[in-house]
Amino acid sequence: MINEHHSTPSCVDVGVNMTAAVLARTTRRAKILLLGNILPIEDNPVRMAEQIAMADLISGGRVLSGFVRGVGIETWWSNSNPIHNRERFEECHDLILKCWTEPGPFRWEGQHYHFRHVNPWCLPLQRPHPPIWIPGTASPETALWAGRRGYTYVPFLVPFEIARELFEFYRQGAAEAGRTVTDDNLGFLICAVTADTKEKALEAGRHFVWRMGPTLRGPVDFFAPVGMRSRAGAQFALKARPRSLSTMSYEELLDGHFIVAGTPDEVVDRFARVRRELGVGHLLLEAQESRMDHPTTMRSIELMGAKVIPAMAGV
Amino acid sequence: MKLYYFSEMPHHEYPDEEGLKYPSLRLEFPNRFFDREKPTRSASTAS
Repeated sequence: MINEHHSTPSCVDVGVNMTAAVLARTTRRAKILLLGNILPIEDNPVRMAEQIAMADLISGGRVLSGFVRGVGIETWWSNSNPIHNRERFEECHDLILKCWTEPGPFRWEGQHYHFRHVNPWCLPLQRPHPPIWIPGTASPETALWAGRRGYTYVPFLVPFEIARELFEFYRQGAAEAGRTVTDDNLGFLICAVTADTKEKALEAGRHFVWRMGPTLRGPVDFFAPVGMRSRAGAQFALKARPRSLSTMSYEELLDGHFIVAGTPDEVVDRFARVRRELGVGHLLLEAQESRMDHPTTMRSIELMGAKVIPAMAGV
Repeated sequence: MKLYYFSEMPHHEYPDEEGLKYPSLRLEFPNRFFDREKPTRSASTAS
């Protein structure tokens, strides 16, 4: 999985499609999950549709195309109006989907986007289009919207009970559209690292605290500019984060499953619990952070591949 | 259950005390602390 942020040392992947293109040529079998392109700050959805399509072609149809609204930081960075965030997200999504699924040329005259000639000569290999994934942290509207469309929905770093509530909104949206929800529709994101000993893993896991604390420090308006969230979204956000992650100790972050750090056997147990608690079919692992060094990172990847993934196959 | 690997590609390559001088590490932490050499060494095939 790859993502994109701007104007921050917490993430210097500043172009998710660029990274996808690199991975498309340097990997052979893995799915490439973009989670994702920040739609509301995009001024040219047609070019975005072309770039994702190109990554899908180069990868041989391995792209999972996630779309996000972004955090407030990206709204400031792009000088876009936070009040239009959701409208632009939905219109940008609609135009990208039309680029991928309807023959050109056509004209697009929307509320936020205007194009006289839409006729992309680069279309995704996957038909009708790459699978679409949507992340969530606190917005009931996003969960409902994703459920209505049958997209894979992935809460990020929230307590289990909040994830279950967001999944209920998702199921409500799916029911409205007559869709059946399977575990393939649901994912969850946590931080995770494994090592040969519990002591080494717990030491490595401390690197995730930087991501939970210092990188989220700042004025509230940086992360949630006035008007970006609806009233319902703002109310749910308060409920979802009664305590910010930055106020939690390392031990509390471990207890809450925001961070998993242990031997392969311990990690398998924790992942299995996530599966039991939430019934998700996809577990996204933020698996390197802060100053976690290369040998520690590579050993964790090695153990995940050799021991954790085979054990999880039956879970 | 399928597993996915993710890194934000963090750039924690500055003295922490410098970060604390600013209201946030986002938007206002000056990019003079960006080390051009380290990402090149990590990611470039030309290095």
